[in-house]
Amino acid sequence: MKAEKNAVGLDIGTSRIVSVKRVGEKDQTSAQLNAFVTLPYSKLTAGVFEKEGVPYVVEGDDLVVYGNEAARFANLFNREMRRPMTKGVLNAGEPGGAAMIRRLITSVLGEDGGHGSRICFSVPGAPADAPDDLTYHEKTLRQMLSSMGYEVSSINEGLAVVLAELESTNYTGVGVSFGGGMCNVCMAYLSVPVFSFSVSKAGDFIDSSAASVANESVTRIRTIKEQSFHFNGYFGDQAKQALAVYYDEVIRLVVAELKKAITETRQPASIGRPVPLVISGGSSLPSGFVDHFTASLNEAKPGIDFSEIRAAADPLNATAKGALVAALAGI
Amino acid sequence: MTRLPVRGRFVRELEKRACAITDPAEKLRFLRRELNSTPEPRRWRMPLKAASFALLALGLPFAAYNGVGSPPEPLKVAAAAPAVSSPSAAVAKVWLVEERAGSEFYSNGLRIERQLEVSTKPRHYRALQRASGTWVERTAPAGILFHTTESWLAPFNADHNNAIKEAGTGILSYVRGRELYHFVIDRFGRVFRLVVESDVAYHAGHSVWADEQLTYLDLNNSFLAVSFEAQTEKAVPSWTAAQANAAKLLTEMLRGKYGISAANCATHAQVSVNPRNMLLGYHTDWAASFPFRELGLRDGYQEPIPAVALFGFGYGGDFLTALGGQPWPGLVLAEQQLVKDAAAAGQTPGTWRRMLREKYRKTAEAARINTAGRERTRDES
Repeated sequence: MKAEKNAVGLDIGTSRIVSVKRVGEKDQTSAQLNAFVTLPYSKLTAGVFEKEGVPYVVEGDDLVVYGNEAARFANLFNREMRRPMTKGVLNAGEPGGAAMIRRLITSVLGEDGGHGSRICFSVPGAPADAPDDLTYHEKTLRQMLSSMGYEVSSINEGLAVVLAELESTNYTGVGVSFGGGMCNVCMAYLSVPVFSFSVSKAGDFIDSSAASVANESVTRIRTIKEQSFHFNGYFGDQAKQALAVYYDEVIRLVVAELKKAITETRQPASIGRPVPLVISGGSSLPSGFVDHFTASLNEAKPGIDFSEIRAAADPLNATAKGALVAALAGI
Repeated sequence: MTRLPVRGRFVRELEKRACAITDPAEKLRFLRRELNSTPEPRRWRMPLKAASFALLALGLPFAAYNGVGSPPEPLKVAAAAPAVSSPSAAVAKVWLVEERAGSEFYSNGLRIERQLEVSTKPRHYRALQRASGTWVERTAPAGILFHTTESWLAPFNADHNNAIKEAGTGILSYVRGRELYHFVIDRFGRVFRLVVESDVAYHAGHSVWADEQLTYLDLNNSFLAVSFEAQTEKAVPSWTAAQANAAKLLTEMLRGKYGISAANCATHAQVSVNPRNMLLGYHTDWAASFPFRELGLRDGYQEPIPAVALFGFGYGGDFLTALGGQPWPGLVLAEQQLVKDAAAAGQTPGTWRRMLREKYRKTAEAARINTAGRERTRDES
């Protein structure tokens, strides 16, 4: 029971790192943007950062601001944010990416270390549409967390959504996470994965593709997406129209892969009853997303019936919450 | 509470009981435990059969989940436990032709690059005699374990020559720094010795293998490690013909030099276990598509898996996915052997599996005691 009180669920996503800790009877959530921005070093700026409590490190001639503050400073200084991860895994194009991830994880977990606490972190499923570097990614993170003093386990991101949201059906159903770098899908039966997969087109793909065709910066497109985009079928605004087009592409891709997985495994039909499907992740936040996804799924005729298709109660934190359930259960 | 129409009495009962549990973690723990263990006969009339039918209906083997139950009495595993392998095929005579600074050249055409060699600690291990259950001390390698680096790979064509070379150099440096494998075969088929053969490489983690005479646990000490710079954990394996040829020459040399039987040439996926959940496949490199035949070996995927037959390890959906969706014939054989052994011992397969798992824990503990002070484990291996 002591271990349960010190369990942690950790969602290491391309866009955000979220931890949920069980402290006593309560869950504490902490999140950081999984991003950083580099600025030219000056003693004055560093002093201001110290005073303001902005998290930063000095690397050569640069000040590197990371986490939630990175977005603010990227906008202020008109810089593009950089990502330690891409498409769900460590970004090979960022040599210091692993060190940055460690800083960000430390900032959500705290400096104290694990002292033997259980931690369960999310990993993407095998990509259905691209080569994967999951082994390196998972092993690196496992080693990192272990060195921080945790007893480490990992969980498929889609399964984590099932564990967070489908307790009422004894963890039977489909969990879908629309993240920044990847979309992850897992179908589980009594908590056991029947199939899982990921697709490497998600929020970042939507942003960059829409930015390209709308001739806007990615940052601006992301702002539009987060602040005013919704699915309503028609957009006079070119940026929103582009967003709708690429959202549609991602949704269709996920639906097609889901149908393929159901067809290929033939197992879901054996469950013999409709199952729920839950959608989570930051890219699923625009108004109308679930309806759009449902329409796409119905059109595809996936081969099984769904008892409900709904958004997660807490879409941004569902993965971390599911990972916490796994950590508490010790699986 | 949601009422769930389900199939089979076992699953109906299981879901009913799970619905009564309100704590999410407790419910999860309960489900995983019950799906794994053989329920008490008084509570379940045909539990194992029902459980296996229920899960097999979904294509999930009933052995797939970690067992949690009261520890059984100490047991003796039948000496007539499955012969995991048959005698080795003849090995070609290979000799060292020439040794120059930085390389070795062998009579079968094998060339080994030595510039990056390091020493770790001398090999010394104990293996368990299957017939007598006593430990024997060994210093010679018992077998060869094949790995992949699972590292990033550039497209294999002339346009990416520099990227291929850079990636190869990077992985050699990484492996050498961590003393992970004795040999790495790069994508051009060049063989690099990174840890000297007399020493230990940290490649296998928790692992189980057995031949007709001996059982080996945690194979860092007992097996040589040969790694392909390749990825196998994706749909299309990425090894090259040059690598397969080099691996064949290297395997010939090592087998001849140390008298290693073909039966003791296995892939990491075949031996890797997770003692925490008692499942196979903590690592899944070469879970499929290993070119046994090209290396002059028989198809190892046909051979019974010792971790299952001897120690009752199970496997889950992710492992099956890594295998390409179908269990190896050897995995099925091992499960069948377990059922036969259970019948011979007058036990249900579930009870027998639990007893085997307990045997594993005791054997692993004994192995740890035996190697206390000499062991070093690495989770990343």
